[in-house]
Amino acid sequence: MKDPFDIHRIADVPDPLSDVDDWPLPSRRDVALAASPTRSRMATARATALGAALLYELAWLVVMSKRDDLHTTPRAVLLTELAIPVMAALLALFAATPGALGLGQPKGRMTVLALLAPALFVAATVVMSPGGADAEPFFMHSLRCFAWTAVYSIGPMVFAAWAFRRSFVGAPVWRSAALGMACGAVGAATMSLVCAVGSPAHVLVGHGGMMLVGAAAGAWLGNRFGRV
Amino acid sequence: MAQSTVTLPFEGFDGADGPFLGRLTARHGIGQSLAGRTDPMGQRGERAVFPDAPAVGAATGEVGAETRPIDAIMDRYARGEDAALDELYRLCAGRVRGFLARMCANASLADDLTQDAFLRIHTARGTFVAGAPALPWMFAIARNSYLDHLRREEVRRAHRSTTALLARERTLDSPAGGDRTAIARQMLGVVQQALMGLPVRQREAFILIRFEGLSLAEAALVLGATQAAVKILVHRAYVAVREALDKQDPERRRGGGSTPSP
Repeated sequence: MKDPFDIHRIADVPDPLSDVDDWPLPSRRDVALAASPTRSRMATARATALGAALLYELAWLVVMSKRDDLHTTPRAVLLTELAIPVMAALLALFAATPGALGLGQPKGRMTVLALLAPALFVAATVVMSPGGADAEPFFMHSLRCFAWTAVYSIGPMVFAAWAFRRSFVGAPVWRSAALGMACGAVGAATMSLVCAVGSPAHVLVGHGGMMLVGAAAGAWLGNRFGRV
Repeated sequence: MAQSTVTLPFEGFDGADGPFLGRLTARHGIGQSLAGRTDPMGQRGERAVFPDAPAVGAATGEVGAETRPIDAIMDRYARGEDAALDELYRLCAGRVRGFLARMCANASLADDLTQDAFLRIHTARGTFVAGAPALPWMFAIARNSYLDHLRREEVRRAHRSTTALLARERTLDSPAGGDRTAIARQMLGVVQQALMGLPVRQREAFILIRFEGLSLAEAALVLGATQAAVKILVHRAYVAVREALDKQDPERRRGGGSTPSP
């Protein structure tokens, strides 16, 4: 079948600047270059940011009163509630990785991974959530949980913004959005150890809503400060 | 601002002997079937039309075998060897400047943007992935530099007038060599004008694949698009350039659009 977008014939187009390599090359501008992070220093900064983000979450877990049913709920249920946002965070983090060329994952794969993270969170929450009634009104309780999840997420976001500033050569908006979503998911994971309400609607809005807000914030930050 | 002396691409081409566009073909890659380089689909192309002609990617330095040393130097630089920057500049600035010159059709602006791109390369060296090819990464940074320039200055319209000026200067300054030579030169001017008339996204996709020798996959990563989207962009650009060429030389169209062999 004939390819309607066959591009093999582009070789017919002559190069108007075929001699561009012969143009005299100007010498490199003699400016004092500010110290820039090397690969190892950047890896150290990112590991530090990851460690600091985890410490931030642990600190909040220590400060906050944990859910009352922590010792009575079956461990499998607790692990599932924790694993759902953690898996979503890992998927989103993978979408933000630099890929083989350092320019991000191929667009299709990145889009699928970035969309798969919230999709997994929603599907797994709906299917696997233990349910249970919420004694408080849905809206007020969800809003409060959302606000606390935002508090839990802000630390990882700040550390990520510090570690990844001006470091996305390709696809900065998508990759930083995925990073923001991962931070929101980490906040949701912490929240799952604080809030005992397991109704799907509450978990999706109150705990998982921050994933979307984090993605939006990440996209904005990435566009402004993430691009090299 | 560093001002380059632009040597014309038409030097040494008199066009008097041989068929129309004969010598132009060898230098400017007319009619070559992506000869001897990785074709846009990621496979080796056949040297089809002009067996003795240099490969399409050879004039500008193919992204491939000879880029390995560049990758190693970039890797050393990313690991912290500051002295590697000068070596990197010596080896890669021409390629980066070539890409930028094709994008903006302005020699001095291309020089400035090259300097800016290398500052960015310095800033971002820690993000260079070990073992990755350096040139697509550098092209992506150069592209960011160019897009930032476009956003800052909003110079699209100015670019078009600059292009017209550059094309005219080239035509006027070129050594005289008969009508056919003049027509051939005019065709290159038409290509340049047509390229500059394209939307930026189509232009950069076309330049990366046709002139910088990137594969579809590499160009897709540089542009942050899917391979299918890049293919469509390149095809649309090709159709537009082809139309401009056909308008210029209706005989080409009557002859089925193929380039006469020497």
